[in-house]
Amino acid sequence: MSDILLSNQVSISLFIDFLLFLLLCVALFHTLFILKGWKRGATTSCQYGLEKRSYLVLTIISFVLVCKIILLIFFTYTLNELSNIVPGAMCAAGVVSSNSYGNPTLVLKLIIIMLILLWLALNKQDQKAKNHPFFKQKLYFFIVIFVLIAVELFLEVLFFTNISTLTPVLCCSTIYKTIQNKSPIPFSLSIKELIALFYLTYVFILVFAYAKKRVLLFVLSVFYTYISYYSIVYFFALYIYELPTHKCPFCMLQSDYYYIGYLIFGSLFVATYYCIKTSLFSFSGTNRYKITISYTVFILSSSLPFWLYFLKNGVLL
Amino acid sequence: MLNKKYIKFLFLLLLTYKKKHLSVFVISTVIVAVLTSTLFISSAIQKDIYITLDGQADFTIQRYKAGKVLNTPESWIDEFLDIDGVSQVQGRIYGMHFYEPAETYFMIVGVDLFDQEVSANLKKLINGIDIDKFLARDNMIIGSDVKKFFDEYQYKGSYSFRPPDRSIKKVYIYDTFPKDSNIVSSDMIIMDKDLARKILGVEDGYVTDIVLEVPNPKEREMVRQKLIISHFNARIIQKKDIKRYYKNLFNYKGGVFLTLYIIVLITFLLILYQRYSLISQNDSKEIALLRSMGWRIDSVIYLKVAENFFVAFGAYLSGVIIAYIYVFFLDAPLLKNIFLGYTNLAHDVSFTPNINNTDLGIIFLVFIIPFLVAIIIPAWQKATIEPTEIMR
Amino acid sequence: MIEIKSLNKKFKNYQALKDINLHIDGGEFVILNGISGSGKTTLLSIIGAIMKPTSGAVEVSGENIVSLSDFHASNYRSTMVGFVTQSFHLFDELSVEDNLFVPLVITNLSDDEVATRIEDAMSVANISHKAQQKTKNLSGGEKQRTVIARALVNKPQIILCDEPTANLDLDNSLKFIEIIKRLKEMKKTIVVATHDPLFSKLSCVDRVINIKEGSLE
Repeated sequence: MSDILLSNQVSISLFIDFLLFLLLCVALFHTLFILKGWKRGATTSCQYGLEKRSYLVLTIISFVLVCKIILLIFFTYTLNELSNIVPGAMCAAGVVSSNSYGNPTLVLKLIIIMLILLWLALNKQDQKAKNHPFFKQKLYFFIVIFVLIAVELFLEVLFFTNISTLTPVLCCSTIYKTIQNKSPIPFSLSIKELIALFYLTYVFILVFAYAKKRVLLFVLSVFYTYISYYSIVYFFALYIYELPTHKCPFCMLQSDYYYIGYLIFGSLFVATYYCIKTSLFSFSGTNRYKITISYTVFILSSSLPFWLYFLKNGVLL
Repeated sequence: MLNKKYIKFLFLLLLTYKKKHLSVFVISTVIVAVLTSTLFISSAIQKDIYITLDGQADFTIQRYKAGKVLNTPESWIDEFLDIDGVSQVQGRIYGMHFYEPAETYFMIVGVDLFDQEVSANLKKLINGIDIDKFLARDNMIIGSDVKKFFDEYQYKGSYSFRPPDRSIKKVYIYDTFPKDSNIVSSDMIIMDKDLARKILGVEDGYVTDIVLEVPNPKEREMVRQKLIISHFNARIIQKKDIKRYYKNLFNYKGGVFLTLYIIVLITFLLILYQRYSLISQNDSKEIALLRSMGWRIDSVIYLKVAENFFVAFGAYLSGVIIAYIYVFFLDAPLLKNIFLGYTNLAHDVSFTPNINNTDLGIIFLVFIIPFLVAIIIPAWQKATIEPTEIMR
Repeated sequence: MIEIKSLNKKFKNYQALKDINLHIDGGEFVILNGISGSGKTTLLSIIGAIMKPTSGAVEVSGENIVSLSDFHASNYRSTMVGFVTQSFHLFDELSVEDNLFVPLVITNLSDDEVATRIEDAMSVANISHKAQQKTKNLSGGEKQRTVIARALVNKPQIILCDEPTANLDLDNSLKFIEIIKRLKEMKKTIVVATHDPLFSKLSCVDRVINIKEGSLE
């Protein structure tokens, strides 16, 4: 346990996360104070003072968002570095699956960033309107985010302290393989069906975005993130690595593959964010344009290696 | 928010009011420089050790008895040659010699100069030697630290060793390794294998340990199993185990330093927080003015945070540059001993310039983010100053 | 343009404004006449949305600015109001041009528009010839003209002046008044809080409102 904690990257990751958490505790204190005293529509100096406090909460959340994004990239980098110390691990995939806290920590980090971005969008809507229609809602939303960040910190500590430098872990070809005829792909779809669904859902999302269908857009974009993950890992990744057994979402984040993973997962994340934001707040032309562009970047970056390989070689892996 | 005008105004303020940030900038630069120097030294040593390790054999076999390492029988060499996958096997003679005047140890390494299969590292060090001249009498090649000590104690052209059989063996200094050849070679003495055997008292038929190469990585596990069952008292050390050991050692030393650094940093941040919380009259007027002109609270906060970010970033860049000069041009006096230690000789080494992105990223994270955390609340306190201040 | 209804402001134990009711038309030039401590500065601060009243309403072009959040109040100050105060609050180490740049940083204007606005404001305030000079090196009158130029750079509808000639000599006071006349021609709504007798003699003044101990007479 102590070997891992003394690695520079891990101790710094935890230190910064802890520092941000302390800052968020300050924000929480102010949030509770504001919620106690806030009266909608009042124009007293006390109310004005509470409004000023809310700016501290806004500043802290914005700052934490920027740091969380940087730390997420640092986290994936740390996982890859740890694969040098963890026996059996060839890349981050092995380290993440070394105990049961790895995957939930990573997923929670992504969810938190998404929620903070949505919080900022809600805050913008609240500020733009004249009478702060979402003031209390955004503060309650912040409390939810705070709780999730506390959970994330807890999971991260558990994850790092439970990585063993003695017990070997599995590498990605074992983690992502089919186990006893039970396909890891959801709804027991075949690869062809998954990819057909992948492209079809993309088309439907664009249709719903332009047809201003809120609920359908929201649901479909979340669903699409889910099946995109499987499509990338179990199909498109093979053509990025040009190896039929190499199914790994982490290796494509490394310099060996020109960091294309960041473009793929980054554009998917951004597209999902715009979809959720649009379905919750506003179907403006700009938002729909952003959805179209980000999904198109995602589709191109993920499927281009496949199409190039297929057109060049005429066969599938 | 982040438009051209904003950035222009930000730099205008920073350049016009430089004195305001000077003290913070200087202290920050020192802190970054110290941290960066440590990381640079650590990385440089690690890199050098890894290069050395890469030149090491895949397997090292030693003989154990009752938990102690003893000399290994030379007969084991032929047994190991019979194992499939093993390409080269060699017995090594080396050991520590106690240098009484300074109460320190040298590493004596015996080399068979005619052996084609001498390890890559040693090959580098002994390249270009006139073998006949070297073997004409008892000669040795010494590391730069050894030379320093010999000079200090007036051993100019030779040194008389005292082997265990109480005889005296005079060995002449043939040459010295250059200072920057390798950190690992600085306290080493290289001599002919038989001479080393005599000086270290290694009996005939024995060697200090045996090294062997297994070129095919897929066969290494199988070879390892065979080596383990070959002799009950054999201790098998694989190259990758050594690498992991060193990585953990560096993590340990680095971790201890980092912990101490973080304590210093926290103190600095508390001071920073206090300093920025003191709102001077000038500050009040400046903020009230901005607010009266229509600047929103969040615009003012972002301005203050951005101002401090650039001060911190400037300190980061300056600190890194100063550290680079300190470590790679001045050879890091004082600090290098934290990692190289005083266990052998005080080291007179120079570091190979090497920067990796991890180190730079770590310094950025561990300095700039805490710095900004310390100033966020003071920045908000300033931004919420009432614009009525300007009406006074 | 400005409609003030039942405005009260209480500071701890002291009532600065008592039930003020006032109407000011767009383009009107109004003098608020009263001694120090009569409540002129407080009233101006509330009209300029840099202070909140204890009770009452201030409607500017139909919108009650008192109930605005800081976000919108800042926007109001940025687009609708220009302040001229008695102390010359400027960034001393910046030039005249750079001081005028400050209010425009938070706008969405292009570089060309910014340059044009700065030039226009400097020419109205007659300070163009000192554009590159640091404001700490300017005379009192020049500083005041820089303050006016800065107040104009956002093209506000309302100009609020609080004892603008208090720190000026007669010559500079007269120059200041010339500029105010020009603003009147530009159809700005001007409210000057002052007890300087120079203003009450002006022909372009539409109304003189006397304020005493927080109430209008």
